[in-house]
Amino acid sequence: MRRFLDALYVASGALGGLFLVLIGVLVLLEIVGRELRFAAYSFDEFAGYCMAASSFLALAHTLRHNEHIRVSLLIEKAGPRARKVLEVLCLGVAALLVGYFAAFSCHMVYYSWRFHEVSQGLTPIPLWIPQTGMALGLVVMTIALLDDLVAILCGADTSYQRAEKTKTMPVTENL
Amino acid sequence: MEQFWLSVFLLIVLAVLLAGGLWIALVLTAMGWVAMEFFTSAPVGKLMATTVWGSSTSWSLTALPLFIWMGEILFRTRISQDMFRGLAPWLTHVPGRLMHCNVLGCGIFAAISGSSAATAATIGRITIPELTRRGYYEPMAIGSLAGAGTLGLLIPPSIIMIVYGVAANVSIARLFIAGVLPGLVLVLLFSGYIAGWALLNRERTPPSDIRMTFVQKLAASRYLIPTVLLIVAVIGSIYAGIATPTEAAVLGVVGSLLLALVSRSLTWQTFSSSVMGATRTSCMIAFILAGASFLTVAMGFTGIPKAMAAWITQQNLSSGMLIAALTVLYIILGCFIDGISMVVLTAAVILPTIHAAGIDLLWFGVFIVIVVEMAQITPPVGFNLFVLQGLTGKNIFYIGRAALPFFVLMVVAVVVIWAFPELVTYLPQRMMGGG
Repeated sequence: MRRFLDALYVASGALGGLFLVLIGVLVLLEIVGRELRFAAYSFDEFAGYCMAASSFLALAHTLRHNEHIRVSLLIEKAGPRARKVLEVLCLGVAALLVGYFAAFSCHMVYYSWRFHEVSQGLTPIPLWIPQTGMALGLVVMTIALLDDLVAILCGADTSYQRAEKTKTMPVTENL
Repeated sequence: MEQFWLSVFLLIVLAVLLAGGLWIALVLTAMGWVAMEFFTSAPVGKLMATTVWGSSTSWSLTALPLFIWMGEILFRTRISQDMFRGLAPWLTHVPGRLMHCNVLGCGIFAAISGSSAATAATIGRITIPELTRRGYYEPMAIGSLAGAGTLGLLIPPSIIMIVYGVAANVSIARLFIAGVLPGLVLVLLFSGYIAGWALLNRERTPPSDIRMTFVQKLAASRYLIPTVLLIVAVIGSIYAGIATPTEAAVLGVVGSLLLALVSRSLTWQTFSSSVMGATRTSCMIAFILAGASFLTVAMGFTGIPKAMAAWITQQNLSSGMLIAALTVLYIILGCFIDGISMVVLTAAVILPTIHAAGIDLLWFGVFIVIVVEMAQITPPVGFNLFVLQGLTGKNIFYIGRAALPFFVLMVVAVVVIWAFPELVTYLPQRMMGGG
């Protein structure tokens, strides 16, 4: 189970990375296409879909690297017991909220599929395909939050606490 | 009146969730949910999914991961060493000597990097050891890096400008170009302060140790060529109107990869870690923007931003007073929350007020970027402080105090762009294609 979950987060994060590279490739194709005058079929729209897929699929991977930002003043100052209570509350609220969001995203995907909604660009594609990336990413994020909630309730550190401890140079690549 | 109590209630929710340590993106989403679920009859969940889907797929947003990726690639090349080698020979006889490497190095690197922490980290990685080894006065060496690093936000490309442009629906290309002159003003202020300080404290600046003829100096400048080419490709193409910010970002990514390839720092290892680093940072910001877009819609349903705009208009506040008040508010907020959250909260709540007060949203974008820069160096929370802590091992408050004079200079810069708004608007008006 542990190995399956870890593989799930890694795979979903790697997919996020792949979609990021794909954004670059699509935009590059769009530029080349414009210069060589072959029609660029809705590359901008596809790049937008890749953006959403990349952002949402990487959610859980980013959480486990402790790179989702939060105001950590209070949590860092709190003693071990108080910190545990705060973390449990944060993870609980987060899991509820992301779970709710995930459920409605799946609902959106279902509706797009059921009613054959298509994109509005030059090359219409069924909307449920790109929307699946967002819904899937949110589902994996919900699982990751529950995973950490279980970990801390069992007395272990959360994944992001472990990432925080092993990090040598803090937030170099963030803003 | 009902809206007043609702605002107070939402503010309390915001404060509790933020202080409690809930992730920022989720704080914004939760606020939007509370406002809508309890105070309107709208179908919250459906709106959440469709709003976020709509905003997460926008074309202008795709510039964000690409510029972040470009920074990640450059961070793994030898560009900071090259910049130091190219700049140092020219600066060694100016009052303040190599401390100007911090300011000019950051100023130039800012023109190919979208983030202030990445700028401070990349330049500081080479300047901090070099300056310490030569015995420069430590608080000035650290403070000038902390201050100048923030130029990464103001001088285009800029991640925070993309965030503002997407959240406030302002042209990102125009925002980028608008940041150029105010950025140069800040460079002048910082360098002028260093030179003045050095003239007053001669004994604290170590003697020059670089002996080079003019021709040798020129030859050393060749190390700056790749950087200059990247700047021309990225900013030049936007200004000339031949590329959107997203397209310019791709040019930047390709250029950086070539640079990494030539300098032999491109391996599968560095490539994949640059992609994954960029994916995580971009994911973090995109998730915040997703939460913010939902909050903006939710706030629209409650009518609070409109009521606030009407109330402020009634007070007959001059726009100068409004900006002064906002500056103070942002400085206080900036001590505790990060720049992205400040920008998206602004967009969700007070943009209608700014509009009603007749303030140009482009000018306001540049203003908010400078204020966010200040937030980067105010303790206890400031990303540049964290980076410098990692580089020097000093305590956050020590670094914050070293950066204080540079913080004051940024306040001066706000006054300057208030007095001369043309500094912001001149270049965007002259852009080809109008952005």
